[in-house]
Amino acid sequence: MTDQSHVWPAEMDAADRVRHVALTRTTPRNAGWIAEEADVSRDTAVKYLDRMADQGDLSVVETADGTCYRPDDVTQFLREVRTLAEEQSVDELTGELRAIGDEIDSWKSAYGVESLEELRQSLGREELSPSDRRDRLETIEEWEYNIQVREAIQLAISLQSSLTKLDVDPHTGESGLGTLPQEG
Amino acid sequence: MVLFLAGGRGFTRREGLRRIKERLDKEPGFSDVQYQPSRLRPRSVVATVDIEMFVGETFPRDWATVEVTWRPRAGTDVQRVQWVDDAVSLGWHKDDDHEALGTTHFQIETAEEIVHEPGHLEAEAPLSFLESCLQRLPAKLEETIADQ
Repeated sequence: MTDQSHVWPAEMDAADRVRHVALTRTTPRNAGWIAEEADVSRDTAVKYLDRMADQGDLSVVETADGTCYRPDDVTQFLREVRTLAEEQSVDELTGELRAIGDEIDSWKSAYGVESLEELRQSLGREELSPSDRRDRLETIEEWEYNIQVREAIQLAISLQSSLTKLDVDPHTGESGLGTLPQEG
Repeated sequence: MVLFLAGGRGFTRREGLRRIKERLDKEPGFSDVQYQPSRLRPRSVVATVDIEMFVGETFPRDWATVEVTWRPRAGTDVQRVQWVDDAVSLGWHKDDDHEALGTTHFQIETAEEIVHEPGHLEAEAPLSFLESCLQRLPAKLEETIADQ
């Protein structure tokens, strides 16, 4: 017995289901695929997907499967940076940068490599067992993830600094003076 | 220079795990729901479970942990929902292991043996996958009592 109908939390309506499916894709998917996953009609999916594309949440690309949708990289990244800048203290952000650095150092040591690229190249070694190769692939994915998070954190720290210089509280968005400081 | 990987995978991953945490926070019997290894860099969500509160009836074991992992990939995502208590470790795994058993396999490990079965679960969206597992868990746990 294969699970045919997709099971969803009771409180999620059609719009929320379409949004969740669309925002968690890596491969661009067409409206029919998203509709089936979200358990809605294709027309309903198109309505919400086009709205999300208009708002910049989704990129629209043409593929062999027709018009497809995927999360918009820039929107996701900017939203991430803003959220980090607004919700985290600079101590939390720098602490996470340190943890990321420590973990990358531990991978360099464990695999005897100096860089992510070197670890990628090591996948071609003939002596690796299938499980060794899978283990390295998984570490490569986590290493890439660490780099992405690190980029976002570094920009969030920079954003906090800029907002402070502009006299805007990064955690509330409120301006102290209502006017921008003069240069010089 | 901002590094964009295929599909903005890292931020996509955080989006999925954020929703998984919100869902587990609402599940009866689930408490101390946390991101691992950290809130800023989540790879999985871990919760402590009061088993009787979760299954809604008396149960011979008291506490469990549930770990939900989700990693988006081009094609089929990796997802695991793993339950661990004093007697068993069981869960649904969508990964590269045991492909002959389908997109997802179910595995149950006791002190005596490890059994792998077809998972019959093909949902790609993280919340849909998780919801199916949460619905199936009580029956699977009931079977572990019958086996004892």
